[in-house]
Amino acid sequence: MPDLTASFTALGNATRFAIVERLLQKGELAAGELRDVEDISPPALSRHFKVLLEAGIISQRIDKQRRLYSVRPEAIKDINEWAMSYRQFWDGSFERLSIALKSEGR
Amino acid sequence: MATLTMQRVFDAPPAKVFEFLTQTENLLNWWGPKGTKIRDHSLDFSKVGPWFAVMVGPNGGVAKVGGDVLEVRAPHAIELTLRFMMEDGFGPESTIRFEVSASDTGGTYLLLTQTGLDPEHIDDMMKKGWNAALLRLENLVTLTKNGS
Repeated sequence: MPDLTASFTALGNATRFAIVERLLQKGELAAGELRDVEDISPPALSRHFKVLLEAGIISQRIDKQRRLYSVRPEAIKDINEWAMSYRQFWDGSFERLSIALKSEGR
Repeated sequence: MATLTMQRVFDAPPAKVFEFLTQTENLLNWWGPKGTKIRDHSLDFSKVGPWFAVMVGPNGGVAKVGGDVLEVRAPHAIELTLRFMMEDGFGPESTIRFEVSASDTGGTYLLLTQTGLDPEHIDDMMKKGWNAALLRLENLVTLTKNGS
């Protein structure tokens, strides 16, 4: 069971969400390329990266002098599946409810 | 709090739909997606009190769900808590409310509201629009999948 609480907490911040959103759209990016997601200082941005790294949402790779960040696909998959599961549960249940009501009416 | 709402219209009168939402023999016929079978259960949503159901999925996977029926307002609404009991403990608890009303077409309008889909200590974050954010994420994930 992945620690989704950590994921949710990490993503519950607008700046961090914007970082993840940008990474999802663009793929791997260097720290410098993410500086403009919000008007904040580089140290503040670094702290956000740290939270996302610790929550396992993004991963970091060093390429020469650059720190490159990307989203861990499995982290997003876990969140997505968790959120989708109830919708699918009810969708399937209501379909059966509809059928059960119809057969009752006959 | 993150909230899931779903709406459906059924071609049956509200009282009938309410019976299906509350009575054991009817619940056994629809609770859970297609292929789900309910093994052991204490499944009566017509009265306040604890409930549980052991569901067996089409692939043989077993899930135990349970909670408490909090409110029964026949034939309009029921409210109950639900949580999945996982192998390693309890999943997060959420509250489900079913509301039925007559539709314009002579059928029944069913509204499902599921709230509390997240641990308590991230309440504050939820107020910042997590639900909307999650939907955007879902869309992005879909885009990413299609794009690669």
